[in-house]
Amino acid sequence: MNKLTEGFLSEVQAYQILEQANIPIAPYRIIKDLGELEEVDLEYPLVLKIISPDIIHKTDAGCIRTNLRNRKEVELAWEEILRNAQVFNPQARLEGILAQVMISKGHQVIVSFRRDPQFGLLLMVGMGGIFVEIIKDTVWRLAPIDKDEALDMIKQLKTYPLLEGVRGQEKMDIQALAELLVKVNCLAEKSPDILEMEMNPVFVLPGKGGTVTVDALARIREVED
Amino acid sequence: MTTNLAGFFNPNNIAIIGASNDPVKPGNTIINNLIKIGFPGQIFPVNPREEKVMNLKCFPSLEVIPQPTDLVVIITPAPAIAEIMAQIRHRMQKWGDIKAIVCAAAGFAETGSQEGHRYQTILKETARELGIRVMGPNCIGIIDNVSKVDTTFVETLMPPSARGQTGGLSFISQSGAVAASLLMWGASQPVPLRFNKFISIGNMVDVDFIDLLDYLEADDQTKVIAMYLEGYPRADHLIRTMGRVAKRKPVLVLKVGASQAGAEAAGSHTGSLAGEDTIFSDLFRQFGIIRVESMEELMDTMQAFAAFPLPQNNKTFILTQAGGPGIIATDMLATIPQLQMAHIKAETKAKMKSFLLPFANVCLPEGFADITASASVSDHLSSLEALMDDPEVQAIIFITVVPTFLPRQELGEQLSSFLKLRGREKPVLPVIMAGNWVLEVRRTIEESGYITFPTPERAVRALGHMVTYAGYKKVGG
Repeated sequence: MNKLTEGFLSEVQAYQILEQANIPIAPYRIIKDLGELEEVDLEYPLVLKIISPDIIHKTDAGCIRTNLRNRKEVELAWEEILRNAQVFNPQARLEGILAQVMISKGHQVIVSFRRDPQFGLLLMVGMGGIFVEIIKDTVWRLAPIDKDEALDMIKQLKTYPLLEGVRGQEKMDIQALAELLVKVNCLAEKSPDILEMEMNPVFVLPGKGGTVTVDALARIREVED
Repeated sequence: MTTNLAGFFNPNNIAIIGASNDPVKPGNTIINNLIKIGFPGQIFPVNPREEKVMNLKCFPSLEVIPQPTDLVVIITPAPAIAEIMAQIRHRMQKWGDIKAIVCAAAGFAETGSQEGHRYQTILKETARELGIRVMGPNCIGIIDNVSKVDTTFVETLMPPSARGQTGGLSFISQSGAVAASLLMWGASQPVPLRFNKFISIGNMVDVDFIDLLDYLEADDQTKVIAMYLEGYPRADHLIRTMGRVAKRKPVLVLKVGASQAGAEAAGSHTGSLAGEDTIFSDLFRQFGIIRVESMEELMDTMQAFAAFPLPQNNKTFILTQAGGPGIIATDMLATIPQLQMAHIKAETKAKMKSFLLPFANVCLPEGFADITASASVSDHLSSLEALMDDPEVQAIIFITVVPTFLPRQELGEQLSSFLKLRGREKPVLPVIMAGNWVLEVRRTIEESGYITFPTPERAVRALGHMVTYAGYKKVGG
């Protein structure tokens, strides 16, 4: 693509940053060719995603396949993703395919930070999932925040009752989400070269299950050549 | 830069460049206002074409004013700025006295023109070089009712007896027009609104919101700060300052100009999911700052904070003499999550039933009583007293639609005495709802130092903000 994406890190690079900050990611492996699938020890069902610095929005490019229940489905998805990537951008640099355990319980949220020319370092928590663009339920704070402030952010969400559990559903791990926000705050403060980072979605799991991130995007300060 | 704003708020003498004898010109109104407020220093009109302005000796230029002068007000339009700044430079070489300039004139950077920017640069650079602080340009100046300074050119028609009366409320406006209209509107209240300090900051070439917040934070006579804000280059710096001050005294803001300028076309959801305005709202909440949405809400809320004690908690009682207005208040209360209807003690209910008419409604629903249109003055006051004595109630909305058979002036006087005696215990917000019929009554009540409201929803909304702030104080310490 064009210059706009030059400053983006791949999903895998973003994961590596998050892992260093002790932020849990859904288990994943990077696979360069189909033969490596033998050694993959992840539990089905799986999600397959393209790894390319030139394909930021994987869904739009048809480069993500979910709910793959066995080896056969994985092989079919593999070919489909590579084909779609080729159609989407024939010049795209392909660095492999990411296989990741599919998370199918919990409540989806977005967690992000950004350095804003007007506000400085902003942190955000929002409702995630497929209705995110319609409901636009987000809460913002200036960094730094502590856990109390993080809890206040979460409670300010219009969709907070969904985290609390409605109609007999289990309560989600709100404490873990607050702790995640504090970790993201620290990561942002320690990494001035990351201009913006978005974890979308993060699954907040029931009970004391914690949180698990299944996608992430980071934009970094552009390096002059 | 250290904040030294004494030249604006406590000047020895004041020079007015562009003074005029024409009563419709700002250069005349300023002097008129300074005289009427009773400015204790000397006023030096400057205008080469006049011998006298309003019976004051007028000087052809700044250099020939024979006494030290802290503050210079510039009203002459922008194209004269280079010449005026040259005069100021000359005077500073000889006297070194000028500490502050209020540049009320317009025609600077706000026009967007190259010329305007050039004039603003001359003003800014010369003043900085000479160590003089500047308010404006394109502002209506300041009023300090404590030191009796008024550099505005707004004619409020306020009688001289009402001028220079101090209250606990200080106001900062980024718009001269909003400032002027609020000043005039305030002067038209049953008892004219008493500002402590009133500041229109215009283009903020030097003195800006942060300087003034620092100053007002340290000013013990300022109990409440209200702001009209359009924008600020580093919003986080401003919000952090507002938040620091809000730990000591309430800070209210009417923030307008919700543009998308700050929302970058970023490659993620983060940029597109929320506009700048949502972010401002969230950050105000984070820092314990009260945001209001309209001029009316600003007017009501800032006055309420200045007049009433902060409620201890959110337990509110609606005491009404008329059904409909009471329901309006109850509906409004239900939309404000911070407020809750009080559940009063059985003794209080019994006491109220003992003197009220049999068909009066006491606590259906809880937190609500309709003493009915037949209620006497003593029914109003005894009910209020019973609720005041009940610790389960921490705020009272008191509504009355004064009928012809109720001795209205007696009601006003008794309520006024009651508030003088017990108004500090918990907030009692009087809603007196009969237009001109009760204007005198409202004046009588307001002379106790408390304000009144013309409609129930406005009182409830103001109370909601007070409870929110009281909650912030508890959390933030």
